[in-house]
Amino acid sequence: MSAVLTALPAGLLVLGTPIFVVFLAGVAFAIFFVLPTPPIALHQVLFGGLDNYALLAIPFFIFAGELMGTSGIAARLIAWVLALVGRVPGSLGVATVGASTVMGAISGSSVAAVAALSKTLYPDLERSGYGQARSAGLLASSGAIDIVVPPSIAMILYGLAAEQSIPRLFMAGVLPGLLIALMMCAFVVAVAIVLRIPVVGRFDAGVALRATRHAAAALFMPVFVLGGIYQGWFSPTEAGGFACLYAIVVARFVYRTMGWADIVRAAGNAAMLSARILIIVAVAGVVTWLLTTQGVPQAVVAWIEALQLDAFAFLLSVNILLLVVGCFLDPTSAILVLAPLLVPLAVSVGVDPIHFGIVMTVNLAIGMFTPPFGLNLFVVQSATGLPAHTIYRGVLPFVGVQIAALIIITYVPALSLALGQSL
Amino acid sequence: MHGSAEQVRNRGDLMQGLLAAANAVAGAVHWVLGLAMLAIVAINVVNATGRYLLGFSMTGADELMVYTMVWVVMAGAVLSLASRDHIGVNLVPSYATGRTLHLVHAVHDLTALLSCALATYASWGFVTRIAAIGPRSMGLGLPMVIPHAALLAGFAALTLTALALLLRDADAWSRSAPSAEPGR
Repeated sequence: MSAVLTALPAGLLVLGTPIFVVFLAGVAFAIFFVLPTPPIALHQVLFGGLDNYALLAIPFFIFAGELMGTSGIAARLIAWVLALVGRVPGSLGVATVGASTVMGAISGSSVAAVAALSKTLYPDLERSGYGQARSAGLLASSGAIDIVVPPSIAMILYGLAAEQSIPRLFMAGVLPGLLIALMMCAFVVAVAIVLRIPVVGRFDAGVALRATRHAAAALFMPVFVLGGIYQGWFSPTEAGGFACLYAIVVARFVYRTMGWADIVRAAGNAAMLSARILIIVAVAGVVTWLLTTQGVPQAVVAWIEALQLDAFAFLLSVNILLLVVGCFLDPTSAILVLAPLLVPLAVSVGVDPIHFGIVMTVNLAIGMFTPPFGLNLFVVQSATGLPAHTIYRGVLPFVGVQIAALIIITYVPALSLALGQSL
Repeated sequence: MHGSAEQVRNRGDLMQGLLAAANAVAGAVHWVLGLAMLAIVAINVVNATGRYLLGFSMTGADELMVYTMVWVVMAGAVLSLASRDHIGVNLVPSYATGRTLHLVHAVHDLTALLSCALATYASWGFVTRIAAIGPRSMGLGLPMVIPHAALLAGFAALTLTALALLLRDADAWSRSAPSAEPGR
């Protein structure tokens, strides 16, 4: 059974078959031809995977991100960050990391942020001395920060799969997200100094003030959304709805960059992207259900317990496992399949499930730009037209930087847990 | 010889006509999905505002949003399959060209066809049962066959879409000719 659920999907995955088809092929084959399970169970579990109010947060935050990209909000945020970092060595690279972090605080979609940043910043990055590979690597890897900074689709999925508080997970992601951003900035500055990349522009208080005024409505969005959640005004799902409403008002009436037809088109695009994610959620739910009914999680827990690993060794093993998995699977699928297996193990060795959620999220965020299959690599390739091997070469140093951040986040739980204590 | 060339031209015209019709339908569905998404956002905002600020809540609002989203997901999944936009690790397809690409796509299509056909069969079994029993949702009193039918309709449409793609890719592979691939 396990072979059916692993060998067949692995071959199809490598061939580029859509992930939901890969999972569906595995579970349908198992249910119809291997297990004594009635076929209607497939329908019931698929429907149960979608029949979940909390999941609506995903399309909402994707729609908010889509509005941000198409309304010019993203461009204003990039201009704002550039205006603030004018005199720093490697300013354009630092601005890329900063803009990605700010955009991550508005949208939960890494892919949307990388697409927007690649189109806007790649030509300037390449021209200003970063070169093709390093520019592409920086863009692909900066997008990983979006997955860690709240609101995060990966954390919503982890919260649902592991039955943990989504607001606490959001809060737990703030400091790790900032740590990754700071380490990326430090690396970019060091590279700029070594390569003598010229400083782009200079800091001008007037320009910075003007850019802040232009971006103010966009900058207030994360304050409104996250503030609303932590003040208890609305749940994460409701916050997603208000984020959409806020972005529509800003795009239509404040910046006046979108008409109603554009808004419907953006909503359609968001619905399409949501469908691609949520169909995986539904089918991954069947994978998890089958594994659970076959006693796989219990067997894995027993096996790990027999090894008598302490928390340090367990987290090290999990990091290695997730980094490898992240190279081949997107975070949505990986979290939905692995969280129900790994969370009981983490708890059994004394790891806080909220901290473990952040460790999982950071690992899979790194997987988003790790060769050969990180999704952000394909987004950058599509936006820049660069060959895959150039992008692979460019991301490798940033993989190193983010693994260093991952080690700190893994072994300093306070980074993830300090802010959430008050909730 | 002449007859064969004409047959190929006619087949090409038919393919172009079908593609144009499919694109028109896809455009209309995309528009409907956008409106559905906006409706879900509106229900969410009105319901939350009413509950927290005005002391009222819309009965069954959560059900309405979730069931609408189930239909949106299935319709969006069909459109994404047709345009080959589903999430996948597309390294092999991005490097493959010509007949190899058609062969790789044919493997995707065949896998989707078989797995979605099985899912359609499973959904048919469930939906016919629930239609006979006739349960209703707790909030709206909506017949539960309506949200469940989204999966049946969705997987049936996915199966047909995969079949159409498979036929197109097999045809292109056999002729060693590029087909009108989305995005290429």
